[in-house]
Formats: sequence, C-alpha cells, structure tokens
Amino acid sequence: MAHEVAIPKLGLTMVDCTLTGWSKADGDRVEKGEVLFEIETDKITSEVEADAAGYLRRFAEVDTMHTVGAVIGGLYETRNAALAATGVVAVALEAVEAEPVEAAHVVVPAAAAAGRLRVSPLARRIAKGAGIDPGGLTGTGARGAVLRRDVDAAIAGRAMVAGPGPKRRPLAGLRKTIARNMMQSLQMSAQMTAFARVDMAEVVALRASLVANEAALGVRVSFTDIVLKACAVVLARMPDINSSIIGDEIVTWDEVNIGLAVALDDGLVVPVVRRADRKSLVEIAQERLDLAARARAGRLGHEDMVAGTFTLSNFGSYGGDFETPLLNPPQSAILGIGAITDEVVARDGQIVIRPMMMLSMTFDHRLIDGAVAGRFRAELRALLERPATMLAGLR
Amino acid sequence: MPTKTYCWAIIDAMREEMARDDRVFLMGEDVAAAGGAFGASRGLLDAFGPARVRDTPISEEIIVGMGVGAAMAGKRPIVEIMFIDFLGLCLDQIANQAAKTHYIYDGMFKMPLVIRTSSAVEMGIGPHHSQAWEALVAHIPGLKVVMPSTPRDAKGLLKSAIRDDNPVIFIEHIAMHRIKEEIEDDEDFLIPLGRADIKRMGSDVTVVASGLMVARALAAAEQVAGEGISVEVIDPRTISPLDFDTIAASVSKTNRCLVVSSSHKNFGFGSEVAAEIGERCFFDLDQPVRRLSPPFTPAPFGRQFDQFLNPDADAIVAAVRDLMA
Repeated sequence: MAHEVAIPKLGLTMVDCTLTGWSKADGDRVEKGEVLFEIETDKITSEVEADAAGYLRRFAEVDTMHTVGAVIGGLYETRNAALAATGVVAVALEAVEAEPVEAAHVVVPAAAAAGRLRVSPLARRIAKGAGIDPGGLTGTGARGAVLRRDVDAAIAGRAMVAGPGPKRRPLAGLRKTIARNMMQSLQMSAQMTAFARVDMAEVVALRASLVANEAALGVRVSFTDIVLKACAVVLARMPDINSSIIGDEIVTWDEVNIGLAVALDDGLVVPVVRRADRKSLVEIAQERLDLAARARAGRLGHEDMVAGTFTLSNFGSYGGDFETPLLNPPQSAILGIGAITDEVVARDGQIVIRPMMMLSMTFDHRLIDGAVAGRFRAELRALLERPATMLAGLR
Repeated sequence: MPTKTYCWAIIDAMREEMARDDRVFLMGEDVAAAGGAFGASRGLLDAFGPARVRDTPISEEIIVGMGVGAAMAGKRPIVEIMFIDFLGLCLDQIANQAAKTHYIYDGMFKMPLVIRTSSAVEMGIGPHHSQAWEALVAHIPGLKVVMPSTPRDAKGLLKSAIRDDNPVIFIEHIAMHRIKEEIEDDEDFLIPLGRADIKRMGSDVTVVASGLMVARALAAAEQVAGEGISVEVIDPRTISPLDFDTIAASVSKTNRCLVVSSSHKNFGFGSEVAAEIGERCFFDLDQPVRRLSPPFTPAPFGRQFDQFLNPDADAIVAAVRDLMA
C-alpha cells in the first residue's frame, strides 16, 4: 500500500490551507526529507517535506483548498504503480467548510435550484443591460420563468438604493482567515473586557532616556516595547493568564510568547515575540522592528506567527483611547493600549495634568475569573507606573 | 361616404377597373349570366358585354390556363375559381406557369393575372369546400396572395391587384360577403399590396390575424380591454409578400405575440409569422409566440363542429390572458 501524502497541521489554529505548488511531478522519485509541496495559510507560505520515500502520484490540483489531514497524493513502491494509481482525487474544500457564518451567505436562487433557468429573451436582454444576473431573480411567469416584469421589479428595487449598487468580491485569502478567526474567537470563548487608566509619566521619562541613548543601545525603544516587556513580566508571574483551554484541557504554557498586532494595508497579522519575559528591551525592540518590517513585506514565516500565548495591540497609534479587543484563540488574554494623552487628574488632593493611558483588556472568562483579571491589571499598572521596579527582577 | 358590403366592394372594384382599362376582363364559372356563384359579379355582363365577362366550362385548369395565355398576350384577366379548394385542379397553371412566366422569360412577358377565389372555412360545407389554402399558394415564389378582411380593404386591394403586373391570388370569404363598411367614393382609391393594417392599437399583446379571424381578434381585444389588457390587432391583408416590418415593430413594442389563422398550424401562416418574429424580435420576446389554428384534420360537414374548428373569440381571449400571465 502506498504512503499517503497529507496536509500537515502546522499550527494550533490551522484548519485549512491552499495547495500552492508541487515540487515533484507524477512518477517522480521522492526521498524522505525532500521538499514535496507548498501550502499557504494566513498569508504564509510553507514548504512541506516528504515524510517517506517513494514514487509520487498527485491527487490534488494546485490552487485548491484542503483541510488539515486531507490526502492530496500518494508515494508508491514503483514508478509504474504511482502512474497507475487512481487514488481518490482530493476534493477541494468548498463543500467541507460549512461554517455557520459562511453558510448564511450562500444564496441559492430558486430558479437555479429547481433545474433549468427559464428567462425570456427580453428579460435576459434587459437584465444584461442593467447588469443584473437573471439567475438570481425569482421568476413569476409560467413554471418560474423570469419575465420582463421580474427584471423591471429588480431594477426598480435597485433604484431605491442610490448609485451603481454594492461592489462584490469573494471573501478569500487573509480576509477570510481573519473573518474566521474573529468569529471563532467570539463563538468559542466567553469574552470579558475590563479597563484601567495608567499614569504613564515614568514610562514617558524612561523612554525619553532610552531614546536619548539610542546610539549606544543601537535601537529606538518604543512605548510598545516597554508595555510588551511589562506584560511579559506579569505573565511570567501569573501562569493562570498564560494559559489556554484546548478541548477538555487547561494548558498552561511554559513560555511567555507575546503576539504583536501589526496592521497591514489589507488586513492584520500577529507575529510573535517569543520568550519576551527573558528578553531585554533592546532585544524586544530589535525583534519588533524586524517582525513588523517583514510583516509589511509579506515575508513572515509560519514560525513567526505561531505559539503566541498573549497578544498586545497598540491602537493608540491610530488615535484610539479604549476598545474591546477580541481574543486571538486559543489565547486567554489580549491587551489593547490607547494613546498616551495629557489629562486632568486628581493627585494627592491636587488637580494635576498627567500623561494617561487606558488599558483595554479582554479575558476568556471561562478560564480567568474577574479577580484574577483584576490582579493582572493591577500588577501591570503598578509596573507601568513604576517601571524601575522591573529592574528588581533583573538577573 | 357610401356604405358598401364586402360583395359589392368587390363588384365595384372590378367595374371601376374594367371601365378604366379595357384590357381588364372577367372569366369564370357562372360569373356572367348568373352574376357569380355568390353574386360577386352582378351587373358586370350588362355593363361590359359578353366579350369581357365570360362564363367558362367547369374546368379550372382551362380557366386559369386561358388567363395565363391572355395575360401573356397583353390582357389583364380576372379569373374566378369558385372555391380555393379547387386550386388543386389548376395548380400547374398557377405554380408552374403564372408564377414563373415573368422569371423564365426574363421579364419579356408580364403576368397581370388576378385569380379571385373564396375560402369557405366554417360554413359546414365539408372537406372539399372548407379549406384555408393561403399558405399553400404563399409558398410559391412569383405569386402574390391577398386576403382582405373588410369591404374597404377588399375594394382597395382588388383594384391594386388588377393594376399589378404580377399574378395575384385574391382570397375572399363567402361568410364575409354581407358585412358592410364605408368606402371612399373614389375610382383611384387603392390599398397597396404588401402592407399590413393595424386594426386596433394596443400595447400589451400583438394579435396577428387574417381573413375571417380579424373580426374575432377585434372582439377578443374589446373583451380583454375591460381587464386592462391592451391588444394590438394587425391584419397583414397581404399574405405574400408579408409585411413583417409592421408586425415586428408591433411585437418589439408589446413583447408578446399571438397569431390567429384559419389555416393549419403545420407549415402554416402562423408558423411563418412565429418563425420570422423569432428571427427578428427574439430579444424583444417576453413570452413564446403563440398560434391558434384549426386542428390538423379535414373539415367535417355541418355546423355542429364549428366549436372544434376555427379559433373563436373565447379561444383568443384565453390565449391573450395566458400570454399576460
């Protein structure tokens, strides 16, 4: 029996992928470890190596979508066996991916479902001129025929909406991935968002000092780097936050890997700064710059995007104060930070102006109780208001 | 304007044209002394004498053959074949001589022959006297086929047919002989051949009807007007050449078409109109073209079968409603 070539699961949340290329042709000899095919997930392209040797028979076409585990080819003992193989041709994904959200958008025109589409020549001509697909209309003529009055009604209905009508494009690629992840996020966890105001005066001073020494440090440290480091410190202390519910298990991660949301022109990706609790501010800053640059160039690898245990999203850079960020499954917490703005606050009985920032934190309430979330927030706030205390933990 | 019957309109047309041109003469069974088997040549013998109004033996081939010869010799004969069903007896003279003379002699001979004949569908006079053969003769190139539905059209079209240099089959209907209409008192009143007449203007359905069916189409149009359906009734008047321009313009406006005919569906007038509309107006059609015709069977004796024969106003109303459904 042949060895099956299947789509591997490359990340915890990977559900499906697009087969973007074969490196070998039907009948080619393949050695174990040789690159066999290439898949694309979340805008990341990964090469997949053969996990056995043999002669290849391909069952799936390039540019088709497949779920994890789908058999897309076989490796055979002999070249002839491979060429003679008539394995079940891998079925592309469209039918499999019956998620409720997407199913709701599948419109099956009644006429098409019932069989042959009946459209009078006149109705067809008028529909074409108006840019209407007569197949999408409900025919009121004999045996469901679409007549002129049906097209006229559609045109009249469209006229109610000014302009040329909505522009449609397929939900695909990165946007599809984001849509699925966001919906999954809401459907699969119990999200609770809480806010806290932080006095950033000392962080502002710290950053000014680091920027003043940019030449010596070799990198320009940002507010994001400092907040990210503070999060990592607190997460290392609070493994309950650095955990996930996966299936019937609660998994507490042994690494503090912080994903950083990076906005792109046409979407958003979340590359991960691994073991941020054990990295210096300078290392974090350098890594952040590298990840962001590669994200914008579309050159992030799969390994750059996986294994995050917490996410930081800085929406302050585009003017936000507070938001209700959505969890990045299977993570249990995400922090959104707003802009640092001078605000009037009461301090020791005095009205003073302080540089304030809002923390917007969403937790998975299934795993994290309100008190635990509150403690995380309090610790993070304490670290940001007295960043020097981070030195206390320095080895 | 004087009111005339269909029958007198035909007599007037012949009298006026015989007075106008002494080459015009009439031949046929009982056309002279009897004034026509259906009275459609009354008074002509007295007016023009036996040389120009001649009774013939009962031989349709001789009647038409003499007409063909006389026309080639420079006369303008009108010959009468009592029933259109008898064209079978003289079809060679019609199809192979009259229709082709102009063509095979390269125009050296003209063929100003008018063959007046009658269709008697739905008169209960049996399979040999009840046929609608306009499609049969319209199939032959070189012939013109005229089928008036009103006295005024009959007169104007017959006068044009007599003045035409081509052989014309002029089809009357005995049942219409007594209907009346006002007609211009003008010896040069002509209705050109090959031009349809819009008998009623409408915007929803085009009904193309000929001969006896025109009046029924108009009655049906009146009936459905009460339901808010606006029917346009077109009478082609000339079956060949057929005025498709008028029909196509109407169908392009109404987007629906019904053809009502006394001739059979199979290879018939309705089929020709439907096919031409399909070619010319396909993208204007909102419904398939419908045809109403008698069943594809010989006509029986007796009026008791009328309801099974030609389409009546009720059938037209039903078909129109169907097209609007």
